[in-house]
Amino acid sequence: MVIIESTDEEEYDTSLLVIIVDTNIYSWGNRILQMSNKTESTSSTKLGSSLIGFNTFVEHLMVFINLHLMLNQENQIAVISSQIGEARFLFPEPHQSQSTKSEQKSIQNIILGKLLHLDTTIKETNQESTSSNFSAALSLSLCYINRIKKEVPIIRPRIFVLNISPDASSQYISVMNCIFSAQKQSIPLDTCILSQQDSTFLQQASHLTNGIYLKPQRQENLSQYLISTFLMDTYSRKLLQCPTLKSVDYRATCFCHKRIVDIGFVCSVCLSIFCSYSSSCSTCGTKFSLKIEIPKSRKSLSQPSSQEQPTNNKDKVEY
Amino acid sequence: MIEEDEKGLRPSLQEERKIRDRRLRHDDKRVRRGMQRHLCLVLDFSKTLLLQDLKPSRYHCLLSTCEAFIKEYFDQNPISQLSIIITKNSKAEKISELSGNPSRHIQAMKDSIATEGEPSIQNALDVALSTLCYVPKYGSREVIFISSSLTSCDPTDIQKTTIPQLQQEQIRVSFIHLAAELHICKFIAEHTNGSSKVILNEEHFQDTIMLSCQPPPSMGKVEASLVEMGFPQRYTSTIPTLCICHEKFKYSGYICPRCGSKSCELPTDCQICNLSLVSSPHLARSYHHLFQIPLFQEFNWRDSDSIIKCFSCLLPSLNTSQLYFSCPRCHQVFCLDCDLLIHESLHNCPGCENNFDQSHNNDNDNNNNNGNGNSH
Ligand SMILES: [Zn+2]
Ligand SMILES: [Zn+2]
Ligand SMILES: [Zn+2]
Ligand SMILES: [Zn+2]
Ligand SMILES: [Zn+2]
Ligand SMILES: [Zn+2]
Repeated sequence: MVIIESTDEEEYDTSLLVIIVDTNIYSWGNRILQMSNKTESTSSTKLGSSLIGFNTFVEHLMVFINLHLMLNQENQIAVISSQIGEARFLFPEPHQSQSTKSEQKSIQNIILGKLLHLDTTIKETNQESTSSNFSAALSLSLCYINRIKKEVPIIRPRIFVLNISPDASSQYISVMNCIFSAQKQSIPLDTCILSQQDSTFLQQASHLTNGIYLKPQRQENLSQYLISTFLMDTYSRKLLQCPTLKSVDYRATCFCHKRIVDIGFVCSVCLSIFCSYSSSCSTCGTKFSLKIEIPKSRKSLSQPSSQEQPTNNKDKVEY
Repeated sequence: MIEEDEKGLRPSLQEERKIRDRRLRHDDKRVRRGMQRHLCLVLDFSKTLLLQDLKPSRYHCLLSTCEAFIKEYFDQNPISQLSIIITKNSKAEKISELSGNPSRHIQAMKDSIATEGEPSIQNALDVALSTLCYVPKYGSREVIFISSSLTSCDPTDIQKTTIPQLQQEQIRVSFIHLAAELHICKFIAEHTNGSSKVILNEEHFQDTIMLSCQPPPSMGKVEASLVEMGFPQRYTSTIPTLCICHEKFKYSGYICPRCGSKSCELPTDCQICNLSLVSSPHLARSYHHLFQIPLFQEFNWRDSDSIIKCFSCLLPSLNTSQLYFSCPRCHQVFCLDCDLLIHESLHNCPGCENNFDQSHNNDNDNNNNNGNGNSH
């Protein structure tokens, strides 16, 4: 019985890989600055040489995409770019009436063409707040996976994020909504971080969905990292040792300043988190009573300030 | 011959049902909800549970449905609490204290196997009252009574004693009847803003109770407050240290940000300093109730000549039976499957997300022929 079951699962080992590529023109523009600064000051530092530009990144990514399509004839792919303010499908193309499956060669050419077109728009900027629209990209991925799963029920879907931009705390709620939806549908969310800062969003996302989170040290070997870590499907992962996270930052972000807090004040009506006490909730507009109640503490209930406490209940109370 | 799917519904009927469910779930948006819920689940464990009109028996059906309900309740209401009360032999007994630990409730429910005698609605509600009256005023207080018997053994007049107390404590009592509706239950539900429903079959039972997972609109004046809460980090140490919940040496755990003691699970209350400890994803699970996406309107695409595609999954329109819907905010068009996914699981509109920073300049061609739901 066991043998039959395992061969069954091996037989249908087709995967749907949805790749979210961070094509934020400013993040990649700053990368050019970073790389030239590094080579100017200390020409032989390892750090400088371990960063790669957009063109090199695309080369590595195409190697990975080709291998995925070669692994299995039936394997499917979708590529979504997350840019400043919007996310859009690179493949399949939204305005062409082709099917989701085509020749591997043409898939390659379409993706490569789209990505290299984006390369021409890369700009350098000093602006700090240039975040990509990651929540939109993730929403599109989940809808697309839902459709392909209806068409090919046995397909194993997963999402792979290649990220370079900083987290946008304004997207926190919508990103979390996506993560919970992926978690419920058992869609793993893998992450490869190309910047030098960790992403709290993607750490939580990978941890909650049983995906892999990786920040490669030497980016000039990116395709090696991609092939050895992110190519295997969800079934093979059960048999292999995958990178795991030692600690996960589950601290909250306050709604008022988007600041990280470890003790916060939570509105009892809407659960918004604030870093300091205020007299009303800016999310739902509720006015708070002046006293801060400590949850589940019986003392605060019997205080004289909470009026009209029914007295006829007292005979029933058992302490 | 009529084709049926695995649920025994004809495809077209199932489609209709999907649409109806969709409307049902979103009928009352924009009401304020008590997010921190305190619920007493009362189970009628009288001898009538042995009847086999539900398959395999009322008892087994009740057990499996309640287990699914408890899991879903904590999934959708992460910092809420629940307590189970069972009533049999004209008595009522609390089998699990108000807490946020789903596995403990399910175990307690499975451990109490004996079903005998008659239920007592009044005794059960009195136990629920004495449990819920300690709950802080900012939490919502609810009772869900799953009634199987057609009789009740009450010590005094329930209309004179218990009902006024329920009203005073703002406790909402809802009934789900496995057999038929009792007059007194309807009376109680009406006077406490609750509901009273009779189930038709096993599946309807499941659907009915699952509707209670969504937080009910809050009653009357809400006493709101800011609650201080801690968001501990998960930390793995090289040498095991003592946890305060089990008093055992463990490698990993959550460190209380106020006093530094270690707990094994979230959510919990720190046993040393009494700070409520939750993780931020726990809270974030509830935010979709706050920022709900609007219902999509049916989009009359058959008038337009060109093929349209779903915005989020690119599904093209091939035959005329396909339904498409458009978002009233971003005017993008979505297929039925995406609409269901967006409203029931995702809780983000992909089109609105895309307009996040640049709200004006994204009016595209879909905008012009935005019909208003005239189906064929
Ligand atoms: Zn703040
Ligand atoms: Zn609020
Ligand atoms: Zn412990
Ligand atoms: Zn503490
Ligand atoms: Zn769709
Ligand atoms: Zn929209």
